[in-house]
Amino acid sequence: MLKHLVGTKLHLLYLEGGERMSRHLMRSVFSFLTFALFAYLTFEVVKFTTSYLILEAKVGLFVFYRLMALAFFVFFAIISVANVLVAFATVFRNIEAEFLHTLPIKPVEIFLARFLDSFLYSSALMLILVLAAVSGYGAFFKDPVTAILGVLLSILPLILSAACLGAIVLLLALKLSKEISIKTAVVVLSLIYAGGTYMYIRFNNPFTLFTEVMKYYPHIDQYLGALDPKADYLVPSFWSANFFYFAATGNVAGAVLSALIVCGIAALLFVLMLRLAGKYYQEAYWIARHKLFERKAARSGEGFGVTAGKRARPVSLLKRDFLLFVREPSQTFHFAVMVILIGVFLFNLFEMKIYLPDTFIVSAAFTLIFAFNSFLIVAFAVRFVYPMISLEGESVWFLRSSPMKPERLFYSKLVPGVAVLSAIGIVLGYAAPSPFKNFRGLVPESVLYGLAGGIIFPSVAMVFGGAFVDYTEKNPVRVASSHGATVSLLISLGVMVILSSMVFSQSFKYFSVHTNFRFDTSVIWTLAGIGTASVVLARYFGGRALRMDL
Amino acid sequence: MLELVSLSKKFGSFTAVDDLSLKVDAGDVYGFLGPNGAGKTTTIKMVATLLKPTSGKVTINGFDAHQSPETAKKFLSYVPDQPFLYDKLTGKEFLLFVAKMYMMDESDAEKGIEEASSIFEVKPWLNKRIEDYSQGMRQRLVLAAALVHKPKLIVIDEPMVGLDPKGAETFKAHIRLVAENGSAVFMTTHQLSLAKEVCNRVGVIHNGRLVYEDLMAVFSGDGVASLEKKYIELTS
Repeated sequence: MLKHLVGTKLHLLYLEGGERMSRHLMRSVFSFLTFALFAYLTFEVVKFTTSYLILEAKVGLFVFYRLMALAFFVFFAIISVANVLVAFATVFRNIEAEFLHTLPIKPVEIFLARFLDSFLYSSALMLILVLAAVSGYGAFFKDPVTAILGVLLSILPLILSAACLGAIVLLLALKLSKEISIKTAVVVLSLIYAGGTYMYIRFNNPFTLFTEVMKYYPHIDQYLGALDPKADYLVPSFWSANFFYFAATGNVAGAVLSALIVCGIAALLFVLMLRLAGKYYQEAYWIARHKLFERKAARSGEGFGVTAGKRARPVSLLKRDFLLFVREPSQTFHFAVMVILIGVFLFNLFEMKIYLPDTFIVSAAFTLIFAFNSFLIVAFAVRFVYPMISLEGESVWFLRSSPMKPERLFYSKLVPGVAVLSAIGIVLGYAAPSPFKNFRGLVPESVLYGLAGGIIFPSVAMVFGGAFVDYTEKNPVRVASSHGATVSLLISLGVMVILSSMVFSQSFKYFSVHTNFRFDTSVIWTLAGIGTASVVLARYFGGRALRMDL
Repeated sequence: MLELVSLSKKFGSFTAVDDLSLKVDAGDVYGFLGPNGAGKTTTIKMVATLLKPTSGKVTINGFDAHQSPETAKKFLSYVPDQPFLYDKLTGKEFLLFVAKMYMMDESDAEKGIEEASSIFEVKPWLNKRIEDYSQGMRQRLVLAAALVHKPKLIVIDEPMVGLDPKGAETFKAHIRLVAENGSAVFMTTHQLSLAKEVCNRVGVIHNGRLVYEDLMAVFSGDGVASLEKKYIELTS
């Protein structure tokens, strides 16, 4: 039965992929080009970074692979947290799961089929970029065999471990929610996650490690395992990076042992997930459904309110989207998490002091902060603005048959996204220069970039939200992790790189002269040009999606 | 075949189903009636094991549906009011998928698909993708899927959604035949005329409680009118 169930799921994934290719040829060609370009850029960036760290900065192999371990840890944590949300949407709140639960199938088989479906659906495109990154690394060392083995024996098991951990956490949260409230369970588990991440980063501070390793100079390529915190041994990302270190230094036994440990952890987590699913999934499914119906039953006295006059239509559209947003727990929960992240980041920015003598490095540091700010806005845009047109859903017929121009509907979706993200962009822009000496003069420019990001990124998300519209998908998390959303993310990152290069150029001038800095007005015109182009494109693709044949 | 024993479901302080007990025997077509929000769908979802009762139990062919769900569901077919279908599969592939989930072997599956698709006249469409089906055709396919494995209990939530008059007539005729062949049917509907035509027993749920249960034969005198009168009296 499991073979037939999983076989049907794979057949469907294949059919849907092929369908997409044949029905939307232009879209597919564009996606392919975007991925190819990004894969190439990733390849070059990784190759350059590896070369820079090892040959220019001469950090030594041990520090290089510990930086790799840190990057792998961040990658692992992000996938794991994302999978908690994705698994909830696909394993618990999904119409297919409901259908399968009415058939005489073992709950663990349903769980496995849905888990694999979501894993393959959201990991395939990420794997392409991982392959490109590892190829860049392999190209530097001129060792394609290690690169291929690294993907198979180190990174794939790491991704699987992260996805399994996310699903395990979700199962336990739902199981716990029978004893304590779901909110408390989520808070407890979030604190464990946040605490674990904080402790890991604290004990693996790259600056401290670099200082410690340099005490062994010139033997900085040798394995200095005594400097590793013992807790790192429990983290699969540590062993993933160790595989690459041992492979690069010709220690075959070490590489094999590391690969065995990474694969072992993945297998262990996979088996543990299945054991827990076998034990708790049916119960957890009932709990999740009970909570859903409980919320429905508790709702009373919710009113839409009445607005009259000229403003009735736009206000009603805005009010509708707002209510749909706040009443969808996956939206509000994710939004709250991201706002908290921004809060933590802002707090750190105001606390941070970066007083470096070198103009190049200080400008690079400011650009990095700007890039991170932009990344936060991009993440918001892809997660919340990209799905807005698709979420109009099958009810789009209602608005299409009403006496209203599709553009009005489009603006009712773009404007709130731009307003919220511009506000966030301005706040982040204001905070970005604060860690630097004599930062005041940089604030207007930084705020301007923040505002531009708040306009450009949601518009880009809307361009692709329109171009890849899918009125049949009702789940916002699934829309935001779709193929089109990934393309939107990659294009936004491309725009982010362009903006970052402008920021670097301006901040370099600022930090070079300190006084009498004159703001380059061509920046304003460039930002206005990119902003206008993105809004025009968003209007075109968004409007087209709202006019398309249903 | 189906027994609900003191079944209750509470969501916080709201009681959706309150101490509900009823039995549907083999050969019965039980009409489960009630106004919107009375608790019909919650009851049906508990029977289909999509919700767990707060108290009480559901047994299907003698098996507790929440203690041994896989065993109990072997005897069950559930047709929800908004059924799920894999749009990218053909009708035949979907029916075969359902047959496999009930562990039918190839020949039984082929035979079951042949019979069920003939009854609901979906055979000419079986090799087309479900995404190309009309609403009525989709409903016919779902009803056919419910019969493929010859269930002992069929639970149907609003069966007539999207059916054209011919499809509706086929459904009515066949559902009686299914019962005559020894299966039990538990069905919700807002169409009292449908209940009158196909059901031999009727129960009315209101505010989560079963407020009426009897043989349909008691309404044989003046047909639908007396059932309608009784229904309004019970639910107003």
